[in-house]
Amino acid sequence: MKALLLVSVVLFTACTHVNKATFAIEPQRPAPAEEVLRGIEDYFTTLGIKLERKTEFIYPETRKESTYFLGRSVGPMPLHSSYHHVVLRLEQSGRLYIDWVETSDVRRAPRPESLAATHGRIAGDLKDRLGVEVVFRYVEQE
Amino acid sequence: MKVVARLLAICVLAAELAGCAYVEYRRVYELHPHVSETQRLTVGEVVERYFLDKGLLLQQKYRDVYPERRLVSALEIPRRPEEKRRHAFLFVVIADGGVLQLIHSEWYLRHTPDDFVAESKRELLTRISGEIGANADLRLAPSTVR
Repeated sequence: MKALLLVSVVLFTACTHVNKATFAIEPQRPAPAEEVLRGIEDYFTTLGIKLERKTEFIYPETRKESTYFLGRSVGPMPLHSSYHHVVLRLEQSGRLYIDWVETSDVRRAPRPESLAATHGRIAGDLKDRLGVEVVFRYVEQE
Repeated sequence: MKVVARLLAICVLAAELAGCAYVEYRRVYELHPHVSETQRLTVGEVVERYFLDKGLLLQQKYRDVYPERRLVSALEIPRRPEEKRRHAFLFVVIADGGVLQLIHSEWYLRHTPDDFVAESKRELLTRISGEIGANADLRLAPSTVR
């Protein structure tokens, strides 16, 4: 029994899970995805969210990614911690996505509804500043 | 029951430890003197083409805009399963400042990988010199910069 308990603790602390919730950002009227991307980047900057990395992929497909660090949270056990990032991703197809990523010791199913308020604020800002209405559509992970 | 539980625990721990037993091999080389702005793309292409000719596979090419401005080519080094290697890559990195780095990175289980860049150094430098001018006194030196 003790051995099983030890193994459980080892596995719990050794495993890292990437819990991700992805949303497609869909403008309600034709609007350049680049403009929407820049609009959200500007909004994050005004909120003081730290840009961690910005990359333009060239091969095998073109893609733009901006990664922001949101913070670290510690769970009820001192061993358990999570790192939170948000990634803005403009694909070659011209579709814009937002990934809410939690790197954690615990596997967790994403809860898209918990991000509705945040998405509402982003959409509000885009409408006020750019006049672009967007909706966030949850994308099921394969 | 107790024996079965212990055996099960030992098996799981052994599997876990085997997975964690891979060790990272990482060597960074830097080209000196640094590449001028006009030659940057040419040198990058020569280096990339040289390693593609040697059988490496271009998996990804990207341009980092922040926090550093640099062009990165990720070339996969083909490895056989029996070699017990993971994520074997050679990264060709050219920073906007002119620094060209070759980063050999892979995870190995038992036998330390050969220094891929050191083995190719002479031939590669000859190829670069031929492209940008025979007078260039080029050398690839180990670097601590990651």
